[in-house]
Amino acid sequence: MTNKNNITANVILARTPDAETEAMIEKFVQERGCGKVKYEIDKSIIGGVIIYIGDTVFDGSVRSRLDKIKSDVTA
Amino acid sequence: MYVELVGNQMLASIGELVEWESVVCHLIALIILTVGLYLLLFKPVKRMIKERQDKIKNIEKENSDLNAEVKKMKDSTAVVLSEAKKEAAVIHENAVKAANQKADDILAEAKNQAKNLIDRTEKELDEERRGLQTDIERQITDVSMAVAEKILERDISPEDDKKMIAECLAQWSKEQ
Repeated sequence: MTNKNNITANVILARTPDAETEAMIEKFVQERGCGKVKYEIDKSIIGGVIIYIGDTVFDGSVRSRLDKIKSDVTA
Repeated sequence: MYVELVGNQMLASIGELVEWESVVCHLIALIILTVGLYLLLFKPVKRMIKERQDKIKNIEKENSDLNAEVKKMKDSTAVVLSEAKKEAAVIHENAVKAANQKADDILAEAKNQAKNLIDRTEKELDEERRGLQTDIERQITDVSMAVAEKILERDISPEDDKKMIAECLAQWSKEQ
């Protein structure tokens, strides 16, 4: 049986988060059973956040929105 | 009375001049001669004339038959000629029809090929136009996206980013 508290949430941001942002993110991931958070800075996402919890991906990055707009335009 | 007297006298004179036996002999001789002539001359001549008449009749009959046959052959020739003309006319008409049909077929085939060629060319042009349009749209989109990225990278402030993250977290929480 897997203990969810052992799952690490990988969080990708465009810039280093402040304490308030970190608190919001940690609260969000804890509600989904994650005890640890690993932050990664990737400027290519431009803005927003991407959170990986196990196989689940929460993608709220500007990059993904731009890609969706691009996909809709070229479809 | 005078005439009767003269007649009697003449008869008496003739009776004196002509002997009755001689007259009878002459008559017998005449009859024999007549019968002989009839048997020896008239009858063969009559037979010969009849034969000639028969021969002439036969010749005339043959001539008539030949004429009928010739007429029949002429009629037959006319019929054959007429049928041959009709047949030639039918053959000519069929040949003309076949030639016209062939010409129509060739023309229709040429039109069909031309139409297919035009359709294919239009299709290729359309595909090429669509491809170019898609390529141009893609290039415009790429450029627009690149410009948008640069603008967003420049214009998104830390506060904007924080607000965006908060909105995303709130929305995901609602969806859960």
